[in-house]
Amino acid sequence: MRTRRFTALTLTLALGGSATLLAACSSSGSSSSTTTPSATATCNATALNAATGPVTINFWESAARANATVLANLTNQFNASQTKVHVNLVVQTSYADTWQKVKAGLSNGQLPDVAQIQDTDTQGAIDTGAFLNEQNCINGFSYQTSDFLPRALAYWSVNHQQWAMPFAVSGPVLYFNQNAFTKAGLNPATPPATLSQMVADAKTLKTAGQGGMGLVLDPWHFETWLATENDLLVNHNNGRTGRATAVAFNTPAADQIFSELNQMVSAGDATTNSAQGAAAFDNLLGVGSGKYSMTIDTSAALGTIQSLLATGQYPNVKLGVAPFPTAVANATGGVQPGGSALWISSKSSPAKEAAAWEFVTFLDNTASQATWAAGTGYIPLRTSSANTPTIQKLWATNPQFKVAYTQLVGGAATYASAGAVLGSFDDVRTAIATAEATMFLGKESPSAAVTMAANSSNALISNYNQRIGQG
Amino acid sequence: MRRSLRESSLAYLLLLPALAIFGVFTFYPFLENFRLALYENPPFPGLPSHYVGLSQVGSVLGSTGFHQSLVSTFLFVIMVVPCGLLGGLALAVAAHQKLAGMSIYRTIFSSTVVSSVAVAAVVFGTLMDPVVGLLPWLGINPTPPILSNPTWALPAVALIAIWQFLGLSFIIMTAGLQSLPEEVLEAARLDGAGGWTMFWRITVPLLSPSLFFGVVVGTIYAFQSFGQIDILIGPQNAAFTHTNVLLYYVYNALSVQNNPGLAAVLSIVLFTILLVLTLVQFRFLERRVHYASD
Repeated sequence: MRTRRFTALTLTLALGGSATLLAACSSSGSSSSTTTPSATATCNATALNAATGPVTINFWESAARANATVLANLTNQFNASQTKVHVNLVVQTSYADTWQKVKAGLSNGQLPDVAQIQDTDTQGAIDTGAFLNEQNCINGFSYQTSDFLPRALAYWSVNHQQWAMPFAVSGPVLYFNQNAFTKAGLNPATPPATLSQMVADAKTLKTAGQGGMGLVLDPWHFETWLATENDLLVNHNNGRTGRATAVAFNTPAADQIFSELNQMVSAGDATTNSAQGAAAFDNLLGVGSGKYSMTIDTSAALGTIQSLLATGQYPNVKLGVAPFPTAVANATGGVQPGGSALWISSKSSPAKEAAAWEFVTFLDNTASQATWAAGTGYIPLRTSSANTPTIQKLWATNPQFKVAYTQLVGGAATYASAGAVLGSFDDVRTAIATAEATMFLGKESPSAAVTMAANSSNALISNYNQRIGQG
Repeated sequence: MRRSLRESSLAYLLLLPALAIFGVFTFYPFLENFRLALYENPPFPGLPSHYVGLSQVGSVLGSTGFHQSLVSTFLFVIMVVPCGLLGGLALAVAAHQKLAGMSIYRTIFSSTVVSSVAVAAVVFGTLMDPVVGLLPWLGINPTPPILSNPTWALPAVALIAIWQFLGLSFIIMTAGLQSLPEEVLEAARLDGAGGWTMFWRITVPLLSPSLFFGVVVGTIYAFQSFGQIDILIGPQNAAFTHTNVLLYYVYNALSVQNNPGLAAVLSIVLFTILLVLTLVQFRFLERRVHYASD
C-alpha cells in the first residue's frame, strides 16, 4: 500500500507544483527594466527616405471573415501602389487575440510594427510604453486631421495627444422588427428615441403578444447612455485630461438608467443575455426567431444581419434600424464611438515607424475609408469619404448604413461623448455588467446596484493604477 | 566502504538527469512562486514590480473574490467527489456480474476516462442551451439561463465533472471488486448474510482501500477541474456565476489579469489546502481502511 500512498502524495504535490508553476512561468520578475515611451520620438519622412530598399513592416489586424478580406484587399492595394513600404498582414482574428499577443510580445520582443487595438485597451496600450504617440507623426509629417469626424479622433486623444489614429469605428444602434411594431399598433416609422420610450414600447410589444426587448448585458450601452446625457464615466474628464482614478457615475442619472432597465426586465418585457461567450448573439438571434422585437447592438453587425435576412430564413422579420435611444429627451450629449484604432510600435526602427505611419494614413485616406465602410458597415471616418460616390450610393440604396454615421456626427463633442479612457477597462465593464445582472436577479435595488458597480470599479481602477506605479 | 561509496556516487550520477529536470521545471518554479507572492506586478510585462511583502498575501486572503472562490471550490468538491464515487461504485457493482456481454457495459461505463473535457463540455453545454437544449425543453429553464445563472452554473459544471469522473471511479471500484477474497464472501454467505448485509458489512469494508484511493484521487481531480469552466463559463462570467474555483482563479489572475503576484498567492493557498487535505485523509481516513491483502 505504500505505492498508493506515494501516488496520492505525488499527485498532490504535482498539482500544487503545476499550479505554482503556472504562476511562476509567466512572471515578469522584479528586476525588469523600465522602458520609457519615446517621448522625443521623431516620426517623419526623412527616416523613411533614408532607408535603402523597401521597408517591410508587420501589421497585426483583428478583423475576421468578410472584414478581414476587405482589409487584405486594401493592404494589397497599398503594397502595389508604391515601392518604399511593404506590409505583411498578420491575421489575429480578434481584438482579444491581438491584445494577448501584444502582451506576450512585451516579454519576448515579438511585437508588430502596427496593431489594430480595441478601444478599451487605449490606456493599457499607452501604459505598456511600447507604442508611439502618433501625435509625433502628425506633427512630423504635418498631417491634416480636419477632415476626420471630431468624435472619432477624440476617442483616441488623451491629454490632447492623438495617441492612435481611429480605423474601425462603430456605434450602438437600435435594431427592431417593423412587422412586430405594426402588429402591436406601434408606428415603425417612429421607433423609440429615448430610454423611457423604449421601456414603454417593450411593454406594448410584449402585451400585444409580440416579443419584447432582447437586452444584451453590454456596459458599452450604459456608457453610451451616460454620454448622451453628457455625463462622465470616470473622473478627470473621462480620463482625457489626467489619469482616471475613480468612476464618476455614482449619480442619480445612472440610478435612473439602471432603474428603467430594471423596470423592463422585472416586468418581463425584456430578457437579458451575456455579451460574452456563446450567448453573445442571443439578442440578435432572438429578433430573427420572433422572440424579441427590439435589441441594441453594434452598427458593425448590420452587414451580417442584412445578409442573414437576405437568405430568407427569417420571413417574419422586416428590419428597422434607429439611432441609439438617448437616456433622456432633449439630450445634451452625444453617442460615443466604439471600435479600434491603429497603433504604431515604439520598439521599431525610425524607418519602420515612418513606414507604419505611411500605411496608417493610407488606411485612413478618403478612398480607403470609403471602401472599408462600404465593405464592412463601419462608419466612414472622414467627411470626404462620406461624400464619395461609393458611400453616397450605399446610403441612397441602403439608408440603414447611415444611422451610425449620423448619430456620430450629431450631438455635442464633449469629454462625455468622447467616451472614457481608463486602465483595466474590461474588468470595469465586467463589474458594471455584474452589478446589472445582480439587480436583474432582484438581489439589489437599482441605486444599490449602481453603488456596487461604482465601488468595485473604483477598487479595480486604483488597483491598476497602483500596479502601474501611479497609485 | 570504498565500494559502497562508488556505488552511491553512481546512483547519484544516474539520478542527476531526473533531478535536473525536476529542479528546473518543478522545484525552482515552486520556490520562485513564494518569492513572486511578495511582489506586486504591473499589468503588463516589462514594467517594474514592487516589493510589497506579505501585505499582498493579506489583501488577497481578505478579499471577497477569494472568499467566494474558496466557497465555490469546496461546494464543487463536495458535489463531485461523493457523487462520482458512489455512482462509480453503483455501476461497478452492477457490472460485476458474470453475464455474457458484460464487457461491453464495462467499456461503456469506463469510456468517460478517454473522452476529452472539451468534448464533454460542448455536449453538456448544448444540452443546457436555453434555445436548443434538452434541459430547458424538460422545463429546467431558469432566467438567466443555466450557465449564466449564479444558482445553477456551479451544479451544472459539477455535473460534467461528475460524469467525467465516473469512468475512473468505475475502474477503481471494479478493480477493487475483482480483487475481493472469494473465501470471505463465501464464508459470509454460509453464515446466512443477505444481499444488503453482504454489501455493507463485507464488500464495502473490503473495498475501503479502493474507496480511500478514490476519495484522494477524486478530490485532486475536483480541485483540478478547469476545462468545463473555461469553455462553458469563461473568465468574464466566472465570478458572477460563482464558478470561479481556485484553480480557475489562478488561471484568471495570471492570463487574463496578468497578475502573477495574485496568482502566486492563490496557488500557494491551493497547494496548502491540498497538502492539508491529503494529510488529513491519510491520518484519519486511512485508519478506517481495511487492507485485506497486506
